[in-house]
Amino acid sequence: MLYLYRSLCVLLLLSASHCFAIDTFEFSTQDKKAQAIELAKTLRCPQCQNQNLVDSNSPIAKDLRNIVYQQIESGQSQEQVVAFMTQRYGEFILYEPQWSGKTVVLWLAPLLLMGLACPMLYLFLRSSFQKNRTIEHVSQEHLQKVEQLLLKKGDQ
Amino acid sequence: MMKRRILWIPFIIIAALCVMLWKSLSLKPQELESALIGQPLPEFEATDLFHPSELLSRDHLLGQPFLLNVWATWCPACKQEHGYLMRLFQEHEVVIVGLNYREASREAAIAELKNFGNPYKYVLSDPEGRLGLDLGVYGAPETFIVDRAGVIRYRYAGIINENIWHTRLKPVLDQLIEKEF
Repeated sequence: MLYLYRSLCVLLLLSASHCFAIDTFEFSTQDKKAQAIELAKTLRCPQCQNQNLVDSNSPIAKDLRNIVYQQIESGQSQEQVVAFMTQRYGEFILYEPQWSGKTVVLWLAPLLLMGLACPMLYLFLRSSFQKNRTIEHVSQEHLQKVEQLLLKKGDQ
Repeated sequence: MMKRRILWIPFIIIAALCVMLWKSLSLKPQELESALIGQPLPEFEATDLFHPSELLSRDHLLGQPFLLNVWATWCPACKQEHGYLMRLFQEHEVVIVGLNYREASREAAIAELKNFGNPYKYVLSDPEGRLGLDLGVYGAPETFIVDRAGVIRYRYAGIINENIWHTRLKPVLDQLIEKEF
C-alpha cells in the first residue's frame, strides 16, 4: 500500500516537472520571471516553427529562451528584447505580427473583406425580401379569373 | 432589382483569393527570409578552427565577395553538400568561408575537413552558436553571400547543389564580383 502511494507521488511529481522547461535560470524577482516566461511564449522557435520558445526542446530555442531570460533579468524592456529577436530572425519570430507597412495588409484584409461582404449580403437579402412582397399590382380582372378557377377546382 | 453586373464582385474576389492561395502552395514557410539582407555582417570575434589561438574578425573577410557556409559534423545534410562545395572551390575558384556552428569537438571538425577536403579559405569556430545567432541562423547548412564591403546580400537555407547554385546563388555572386566597389 505504501509502495503504491510512494510511486504515485513520484509519478505526479514527474508529470508536473514536465509542464514547461524553465531550465535552471535564476531570476531575482518573481515578476521578472513571469514577464520573461510570458515573453518567451510569444516568440516562435525558428526551427520547430509551430512551437514557442518555452515549449520547444531544440537547442536554438533553448539559447533564445536563455537570452530572453538574461535580457529581462538585466532590466531590458520587452520592446528591446523583441527588437533583438526581430533584427536577427525577422517578423516571423513573433506570433503576433507587429503593426508595420508590411503587416498592415495582413491585419486589415479580414476587416476589408467583411466590409465588402456585409453590405453586399444586406443588399441581396433586402432585394430578395422585396421580391416576395410584390403582389400588390395585380389587376381586378386577374383576381376574378383566379377566384373562378379556384371555385371550379373546389367543385370537383 | 439588383443589377446582374454586381454579381461579378464576389466572383472577382473569390478568383483573386484562388490565385493567391494557388501561389501560396508554392511558398515554403520553412525558408525564412533573412532579416539581415542588406545589413553588414555582425561584428564578431571567433577563433580560427585550425589555429585556436588566432582570432578572426570581420576585417579578415572584407575585400572580396564570398560565401559564408554554416556547417558542422553533426549535420548530415552538410556532408551531402560538401562535395559540391569542393567543386565550387576547386573548379570555380569561389571564395568560401566556413562557420563551424555549435561544434562540440574542434578535433572532429578538423578531422572531417582533413578526410574529405577543405573548401574553406578560413573556418570560424562558433561552438556556442553566438555568431550564428547574430546571423539569424536556425539550422545547418545555411549559406550567406557577402559582398566586398561585408554586407550580406543573400541567404540560402539548405543544401547547395548544381541546380541551386546556378538558379539562385551564382547570379547574385556574379553580380557582386562585377561591381568594382
